[in-house]
Amino acid sequence: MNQILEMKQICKDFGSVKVLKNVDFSLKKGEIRALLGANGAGKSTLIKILGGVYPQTSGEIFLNGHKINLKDSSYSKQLGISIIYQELSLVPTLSVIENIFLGREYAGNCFLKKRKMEQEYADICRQFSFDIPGNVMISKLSIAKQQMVEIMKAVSTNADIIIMDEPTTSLTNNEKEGLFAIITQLKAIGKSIIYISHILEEVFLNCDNASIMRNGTMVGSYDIKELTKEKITQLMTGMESSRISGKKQTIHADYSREPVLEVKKLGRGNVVKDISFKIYKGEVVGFAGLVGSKRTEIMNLIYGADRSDRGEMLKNGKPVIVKSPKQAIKHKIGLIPEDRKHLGLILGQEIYKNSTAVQINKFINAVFLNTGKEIAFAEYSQKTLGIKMNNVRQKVKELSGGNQQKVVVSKWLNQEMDLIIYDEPTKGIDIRAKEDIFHTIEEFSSHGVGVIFVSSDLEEVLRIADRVLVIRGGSIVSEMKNENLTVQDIMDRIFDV
Amino acid sequence: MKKNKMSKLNFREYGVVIGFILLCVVISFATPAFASQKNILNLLRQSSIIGIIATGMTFVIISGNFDISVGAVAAFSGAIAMKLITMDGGLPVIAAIIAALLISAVVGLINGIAVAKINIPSLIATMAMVGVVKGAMLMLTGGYPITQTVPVLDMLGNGYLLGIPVPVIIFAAAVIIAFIVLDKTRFGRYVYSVGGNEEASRLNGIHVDSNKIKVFIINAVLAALAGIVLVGRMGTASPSAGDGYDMDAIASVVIGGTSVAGGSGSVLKTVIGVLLMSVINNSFNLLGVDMYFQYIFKGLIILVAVGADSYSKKRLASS
Repeated sequence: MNQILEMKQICKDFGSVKVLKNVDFSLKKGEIRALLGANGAGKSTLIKILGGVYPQTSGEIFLNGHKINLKDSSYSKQLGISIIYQELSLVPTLSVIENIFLGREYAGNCFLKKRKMEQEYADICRQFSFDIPGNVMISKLSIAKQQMVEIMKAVSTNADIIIMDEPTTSLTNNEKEGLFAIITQLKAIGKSIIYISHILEEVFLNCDNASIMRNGTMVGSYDIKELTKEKITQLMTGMESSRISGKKQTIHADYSREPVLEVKKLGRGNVVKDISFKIYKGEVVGFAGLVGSKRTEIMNLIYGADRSDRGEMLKNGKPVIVKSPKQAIKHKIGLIPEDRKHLGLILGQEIYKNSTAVQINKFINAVFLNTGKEIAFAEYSQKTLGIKMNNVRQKVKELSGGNQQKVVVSKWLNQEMDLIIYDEPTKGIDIRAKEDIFHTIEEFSSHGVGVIFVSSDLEEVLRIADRVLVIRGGSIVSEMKNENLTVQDIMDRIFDV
Repeated sequence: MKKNKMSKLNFREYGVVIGFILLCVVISFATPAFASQKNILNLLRQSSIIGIIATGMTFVIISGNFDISVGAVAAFSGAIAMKLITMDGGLPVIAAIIAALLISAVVGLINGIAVAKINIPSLIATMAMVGVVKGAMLMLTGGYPITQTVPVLDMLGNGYLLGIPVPVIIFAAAVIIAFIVLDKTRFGRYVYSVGGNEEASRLNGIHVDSNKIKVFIINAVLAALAGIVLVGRMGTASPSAGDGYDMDAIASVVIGGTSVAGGSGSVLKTVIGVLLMSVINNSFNLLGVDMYFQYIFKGLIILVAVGADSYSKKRLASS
């Protein structure tokens, strides 16, 4: 048997949520294996179990035929499993060599053996025709070169299994070629690689086999020659999803009037690339795309959290300038941000203070805050949105995720709004709370408010949106009416099939 | 289970108050002089100057910042007032006081801009300001104390109103106004918000920078006011006045229970902190404890107060 790694019946629960369900995965020596799946399919969780970041709930892992217990990340590394995460784990203020040997420096009784480390680094460089001087500080390198250093670090620890999580996202074409060459060399010396990517061309170019995951299960592992792009997106979506589940029912969109928001060639640097779109009164527009496709960055421009450097925005046909969230709110644009714990809420504060934060001016008599009115508003929101709490003077951090999210929504209640942006509002909340959040979107749109709904969950998008825009790499690559649309259709656009 | 949690919470909230009362009781038994009316009034008066500074410091710490230039600002403001009064063709006392407060407000403004707009960590920005302010003060005074009895200043420092020392009245007024501002106004709410979560505050449409700047201005003006009371009390503006006041003020705020992480706290807690510090000082003096040991004890008490808060947050974060 030349299986270097075998994972059997791996399950992982987070609380009551089953993230991985009986996943089998195995890897041969010298194999390059793609691990594919949509956001939330369970790829990262599987990888993190391998990396010792968290333990599996049940299931067994064998390395070279021996059963192992990956108790923490340093043990994983010791066993020769090395993960290169998207967020690099280098210390920017140390040199290349210092980073490569960090935590396992060669040292005598007192002093570091710098010469020895330099020699070993030179050996690695020669072997992989790698040409970054070892004494350069990491922060002086481009992101691409930093990534190369990260890979060299993995190689230098004699890792047998190297896991690369979307390694090419920040690389130019030339740099990609360099990376692919290194991958080939690694394969040649018998290393096994798990390659995670959303860019299918790269997968076809580099990988021997592909394992595809969906909703926490392993769909299967296939020889790359048997696969086509269409087949891959089909497997990722699941055949049964061509049926339309929970289709949008009522439409409040009013296309006869001027759009509440029109965006023309809006852009910021190289991140958001001249996007244009319209949102009509009462319309719900889904923004679909992978994590990292710059959806949130687009929302930040509309809301003034980031400043655009080109393009324009029109509200109800009139040009507006939004340079700060304060101005956005003045123009009746609201945001329910992606990260409710850090951006949506002030966790240490009382529920009612969070609720009234945006419209605090309503609760002032002359100069003093009217706490009674604030509390009344928070209690009204509690009833309207069904927020489960003991009382509104509780700290918001004591609530569950779903109830916290409702508190974020409550900030925008009872005031005249033109547009509300929901950025991944259902992340990490239970099904009941999800339904309640959808209900608030219905409510807003029935009152003529335009809604932007950003989600990685395409079924959610189909359920709630009148129109779907697909975002890839900071651009809108496709626009579709939600008529006879399937998850597969959107998935194909996302992966550019 | 739930009840247990509640009592724990209450202990954290009122622990300092309980400690304070216990300490007072113990000390009044140990040294009967402690509970005398004269000693208590004296103690309150001694607390007032640090108390006024600590009131401003509470704003700064709730907003998530520090200001260690308050001692220097207090001395500077006293020196300005004295200089303006005693120079040839001196200003009226009230005008001199207003001028001193305004100049200090500008110092606060600069601190605020350095922290909010330029993004210098507040500890560093205000540390640099200590140098600037001290230098300006030495240039102004030539390094010598300015001594002159000015009736209005003397009244502010040593006078009584209805049997209560005037500094205590100023301290009380500052606390009451600060409490109302923090608890009952929009600006106060913003101070808590910005300290609790700056980014979320910005997304809520709050102008984070201007609120931070206001906080530093308020703090500097209160420090300046304390400096003027100090000059009145001493009858002299000494260049070394105010040394160590920054540490005492910060200590009072954190011992009172306002978290150095920002976002929570209260001036009422600060009042307890100030009184606790004074009682400790006072009783050490009454008991004849070595002066140098008092420094060590004060330092340790800050470590314990901040340590308890920070460590419980760390434990909470990792669980």
